Amino acid sequence: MILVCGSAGDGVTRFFCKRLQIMGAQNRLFDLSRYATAHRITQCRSDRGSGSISWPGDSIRTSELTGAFVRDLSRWSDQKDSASDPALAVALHAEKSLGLESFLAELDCVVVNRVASNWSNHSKPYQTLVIRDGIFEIPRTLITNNAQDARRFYEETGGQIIHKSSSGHSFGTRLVGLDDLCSLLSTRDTPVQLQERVAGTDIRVHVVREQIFATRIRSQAIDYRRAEHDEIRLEAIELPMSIAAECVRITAQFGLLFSGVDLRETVDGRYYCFEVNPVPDFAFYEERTGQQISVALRDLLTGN
Amino acid sequence: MYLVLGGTNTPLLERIQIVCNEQSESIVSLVHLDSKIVFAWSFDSKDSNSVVEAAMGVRLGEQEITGVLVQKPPRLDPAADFGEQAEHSQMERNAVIFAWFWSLPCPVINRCSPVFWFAPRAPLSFWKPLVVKCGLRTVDSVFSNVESELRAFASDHNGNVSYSPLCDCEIYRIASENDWDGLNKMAAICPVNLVSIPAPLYSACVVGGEVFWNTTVIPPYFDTEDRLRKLAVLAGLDFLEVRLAIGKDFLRVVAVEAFPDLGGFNEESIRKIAETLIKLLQSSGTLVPSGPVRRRI
Repeated sequence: MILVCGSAGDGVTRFFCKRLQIMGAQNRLFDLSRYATAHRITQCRSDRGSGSISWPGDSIRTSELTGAFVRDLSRWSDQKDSASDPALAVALHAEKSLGLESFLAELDCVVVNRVASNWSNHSKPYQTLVIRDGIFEIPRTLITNNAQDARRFYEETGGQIIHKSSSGHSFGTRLVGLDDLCSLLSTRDTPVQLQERVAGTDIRVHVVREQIFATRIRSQAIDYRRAEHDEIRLEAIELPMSIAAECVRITAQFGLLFSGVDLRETVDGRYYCFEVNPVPDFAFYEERTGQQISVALRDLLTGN
Repeated sequence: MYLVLGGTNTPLLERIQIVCNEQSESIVSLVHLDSKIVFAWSFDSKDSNSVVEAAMGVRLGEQEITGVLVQKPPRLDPAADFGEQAEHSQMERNAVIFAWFWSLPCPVINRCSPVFWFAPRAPLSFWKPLVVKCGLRTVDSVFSNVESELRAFASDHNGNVSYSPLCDCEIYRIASENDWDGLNKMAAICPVNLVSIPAPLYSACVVGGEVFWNTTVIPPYFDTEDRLRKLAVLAGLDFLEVRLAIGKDFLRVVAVEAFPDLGGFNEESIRKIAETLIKLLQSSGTLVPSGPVRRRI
């Protein structure tokens, strides 16, 4: 039995549940958009742990689970609590989040991915530092709250600068000009992350433990994830063995069983790695390339 | 020059300041990367270089920072900083400061895993695999929003149970029917964490290879300190606090704190811990992990 933890409104959650159904894999949706009031949850945390989740019309014991597939818990946590005291609302929200996370942490089955492993995604520069320890290149980067340093970086890179979020709250990546820099750094309140633009072709690599699904993306957009879907061409490709192996290594390095690795291949054959997503939107790629990512996930989650 | 990152004034930091003054060492505290700080950090596939200009014109290139003590990450004050923009800015600053202390070539206490820095608090469940690996056990608990299950757990433990919220380290005894009413109200909003904690509680602080206790009567298990040292090593931390209770047959871990506040420690213990921390910072060659992230720096 596979427990799919995600919101019923999340496209990837719906896609995966449907695929599991078609494959005949037993599964239940733990609808996080209804957590915690719609579910009766009990988890005994002693030396011999046991637990159950029930909701109207259904119930499962955690001992029945072979695997749990966990979508983005932060999307659940976007639902703010409405306590009148802001401090109480924050505490209540943290209590609910930690409850959910600790429930998943205590599951004695394969969990894709363990929540504790996802936190590296909250610091993109940290991910970049880990990535550069291997064979991938990383873009030249400046993080600053100082307009003078930003301006110098702009000039050194010939004005080819990308601004991207440092935290897990991504607002996409965009090319910035001098005016943008001045505006971004006008208050000096928050350091901004700037990267030299790297020319090349985007490749998204989905890693399911040791299986690789690589997709080349052809798009004119600076950030293809923000482009109109009909402006994007996807093509399943084979990666050089060393690059595929590095994607597997990095995924394991972050403690993940499943990841979406964002690469860019330059015309001279170098591979830059931008980030490793612990909760990738793989449905978009599977639907357009026919790659059997869901099958690999099903196998992982059922112990096959 | 030593740097204290994050955190606010605590008895430990005050004591560290005194020890530094006695040893004629300089120390700067940097809580936020906000507008009072000028910060620039550049890196690429091979190099990394940073400069930070703190209050009163103190300008530090990373080679001038001789050691860093990482304290609890700054959090928003819900009363003062509520709002999406404040939240976003704080997340960005915390993301940067975390990666930055990982990049520094000097000794850093604690170059911690992202989960400890970013999670509002790492509940015992996150620690459990490490706790078990080093031969310790966690305290019995039940996580539930079902009253009959909570009552059954209390009955199994002779009514000796407490409500232990996951987001802080307070513990509330559940004994009277009034207590149960309050607990049930909370459980109607979200599942609650009910624990069985036999008294007394001990606190141990691991600093490098040394273990300090909040009491002179230490738990009667001779290998506890070795296990606690192992826990620190497995967690990749040089400094942590563990709260323990003696169960029916075994020592049980109640909580682990990656950023010790040393609340239950007396002044003398805090002085010794501060001195040990400074010694650790001075022991160049340690606290500079050889693993990933560090190799190219």
